[in-house]
Amino acid sequence: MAIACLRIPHIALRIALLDQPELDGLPLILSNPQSGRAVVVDATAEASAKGIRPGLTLREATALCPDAVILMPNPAAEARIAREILERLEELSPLVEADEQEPGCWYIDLTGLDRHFATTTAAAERMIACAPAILRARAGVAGSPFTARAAAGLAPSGTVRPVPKGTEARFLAEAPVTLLPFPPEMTHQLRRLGLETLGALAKLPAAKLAARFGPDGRLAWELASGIDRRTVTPRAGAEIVIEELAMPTPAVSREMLLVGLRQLVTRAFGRRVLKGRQVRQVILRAVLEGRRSWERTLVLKEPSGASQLITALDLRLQALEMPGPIEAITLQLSGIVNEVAHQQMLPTMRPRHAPPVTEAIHQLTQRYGLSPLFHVVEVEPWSRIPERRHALIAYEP
Amino acid sequence: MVKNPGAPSRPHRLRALNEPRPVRVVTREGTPVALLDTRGQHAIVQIQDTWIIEDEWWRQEINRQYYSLLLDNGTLRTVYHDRVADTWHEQAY
Repeated sequence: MAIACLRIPHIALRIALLDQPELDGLPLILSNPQSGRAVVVDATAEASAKGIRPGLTLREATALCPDAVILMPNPAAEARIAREILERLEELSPLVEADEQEPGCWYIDLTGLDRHFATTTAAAERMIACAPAILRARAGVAGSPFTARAAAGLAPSGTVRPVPKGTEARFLAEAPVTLLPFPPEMTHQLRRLGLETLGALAKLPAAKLAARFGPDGRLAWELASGIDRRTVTPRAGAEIVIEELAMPTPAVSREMLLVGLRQLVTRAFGRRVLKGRQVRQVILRAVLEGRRSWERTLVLKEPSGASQLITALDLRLQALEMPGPIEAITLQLSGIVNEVAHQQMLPTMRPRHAPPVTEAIHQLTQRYGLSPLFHVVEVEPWSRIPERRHALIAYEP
Repeated sequence: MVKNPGAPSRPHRLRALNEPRPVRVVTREGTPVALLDTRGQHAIVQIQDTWIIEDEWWRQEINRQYYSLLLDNGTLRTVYHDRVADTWHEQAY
């Protein structure tokens, strides 16, 4: 079995270059101003060479490198590019898996592709071509997902690093521990303990690593020892409906956004795939002025049709602080199920709650001196202070 | 004039809902990195949102910084830092 791993390091930063290719080669920093405290989220190799690392504040980063260019995340573009790359890879092989832990990393099972490509390296080169060149994709080919991923991590941009069968143990022994798929804090700790290579890690007793680092320590030992039982699991054939709308003028009010969303919902439910069906999840993406974007995921309490979905979106948007003028919106509907309905009780069959409840409350009041049943009332529903919005009041029918 | 009926007041009739609960939060440079509760310590994977409420400075000042936190066990919790008393509380928003 041969597995290829396609990797695009710093994918969020590289995607920003699709619109601004002139920034390629400059020290780039990804930050997120909406997190309250502007810090470095990611940095390119050019920025890292100047000492910039994730976690630094922007003030510290710009002091280290005044020429650094600060970019903002663009989740809408990231989702679109990742989806396009995945779809192109799926045209080459039916067994493609996107790494959920690491954006910009895909595994491809090359089994059976020898009839289309002379070598596995040629197949991996074709996969690199699935991503725009400016993203600097690279690939590794090996017998297991982790070894392929490690090989891709060592491959220069635009090239394939094959690890032939029989040489995998030697390759892993010399590979640095930073290639392990764990948070930087763990690999930093390993290096502080003097463990620079996977070979040094594999020589330690697995139990001691598990005792020191927990399940991750055990997994790290297994991966370093070439034990990787994972297989490439393609995504389930989930039905997804995507509708897009470019706003005639940038939307700055919720009302205008809702008008656009209504149109998208109506359009989506007009499709054959949603006829007589309902959805459980909505991903709303907005492209903002200045090449920024914004994304929210709404999980609905119960499957909803078009009118219920519009009501739900209306309610959610009331609490939304507009992130900026919106130029385009995308609505992605998933969790598509057949229409469900709640059977209404016939009037004559409805249980007669009131008298028994009243009687029970009287008895409880007699016993405890006050009614132990309460109901929720609105006090200051508009208050910014959560505990002032609602109150419990004794239920006294 | 209305006569005082002499009946005891009934403060039990109205109870505030969603009152803040004290919580222990580990911070690094002022930013929360872990949350401790009865089930143990949970690392904070992502701060999904943060906002500040400043109100009623003319009487008992309210100055809170809220954080919407995604924990390593996948749960979403909302906590706030009381910037007047320097204490942490959990409260759904």
